Amino acid sequence: MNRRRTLSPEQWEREQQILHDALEHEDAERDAFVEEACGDDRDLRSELASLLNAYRQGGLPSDPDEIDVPRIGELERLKRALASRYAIDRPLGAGGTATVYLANDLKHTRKVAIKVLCAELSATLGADRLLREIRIAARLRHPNIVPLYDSGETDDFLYYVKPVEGETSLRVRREINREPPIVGHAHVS
Amino acid sequence: MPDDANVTQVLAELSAGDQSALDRLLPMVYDQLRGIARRELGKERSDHTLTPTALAHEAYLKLVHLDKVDWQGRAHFFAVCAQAMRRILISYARMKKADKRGAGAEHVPIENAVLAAQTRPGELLALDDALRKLERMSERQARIVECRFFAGMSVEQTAEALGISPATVKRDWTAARTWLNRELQR
Repeated sequence: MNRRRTLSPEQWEREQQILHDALEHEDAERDAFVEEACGDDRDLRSELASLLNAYRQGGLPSDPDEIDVPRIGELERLKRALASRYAIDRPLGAGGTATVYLANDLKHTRKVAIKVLCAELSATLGADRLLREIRIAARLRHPNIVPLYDSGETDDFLYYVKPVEGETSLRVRREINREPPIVGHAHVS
Repeated sequence: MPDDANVTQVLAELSAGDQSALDRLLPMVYDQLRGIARRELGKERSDHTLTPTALAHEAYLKLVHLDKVDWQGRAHFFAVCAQAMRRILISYARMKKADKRGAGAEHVPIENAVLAAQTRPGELLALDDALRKLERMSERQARIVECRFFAGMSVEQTAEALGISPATVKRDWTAARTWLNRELQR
């Protein structure tokens, strides 16, 4: 085991600067760049060499790609976007691709659950999936399938609206992570 | 057990600029989060992938009156959650490691802190040690690793939670990850 010196914040700052500069260079030129940047400082040079080596090997820890907490500020934006029809109360839960909010349907004065696809995902492939889900749900009538009240797209939000009441709300919560409903024994109207 | 009004109140004070509120917030969040985490960690290999963000989100829903907290308060909450998650997962990993002493210690990339605590506790403890060293070199980078790795937050969420730019988060994350990776290869 090779003991490395403990770095002061200033030393670490300097090493990082060289590391980032080195990463700007093509892989083939990096070693030469580090050599030049470190000059006669042999410790620094070996530090940088081992850091670049660790960078190449990647590994730990990877990027958390999933976005399953609604974006900070999303609630406020959503409230504004839906203000004419729904008063958003609070989130019921969040899954990998969507968040479900409890809201009041202002027109029909009833509680509803609004499932909103993450804004980032609406912009890419996820939109197709939610739209498919909406289309299927709109056609289904079955005791185990929550009917669909409304759906739409506003200010980058893709959403659909379902009833929420007693036991149903539990089901809505469970559904957050679920795949689109499976067309099994349901009757398509 | 803290009541919801307390956490909401503390978040409001934080948003108003009272930094001492941060110290009061951590134990409140920690207690609640630990309860949720214990329940979830208890059911090992559950049918869904447990993510730290899901835990933090649940704690948030339980503790905070949403109407009374603005986005800054929310950001503070998640930054504190990240620190609490780290403590919870590390103490869980310690317990877990004591359970099965001498289990193999192969080096596998860690994708998820919760998963690591459950399946490769030794590795997570090593990471925690390294992170404590990093903390002395750059406090900000340690906070970023907590948000990104222990709480599973995105670059943008981390930036909002810590009040820094996404570009800084990306740059620091690269440097911190590289450094940690090397530390753990020793």
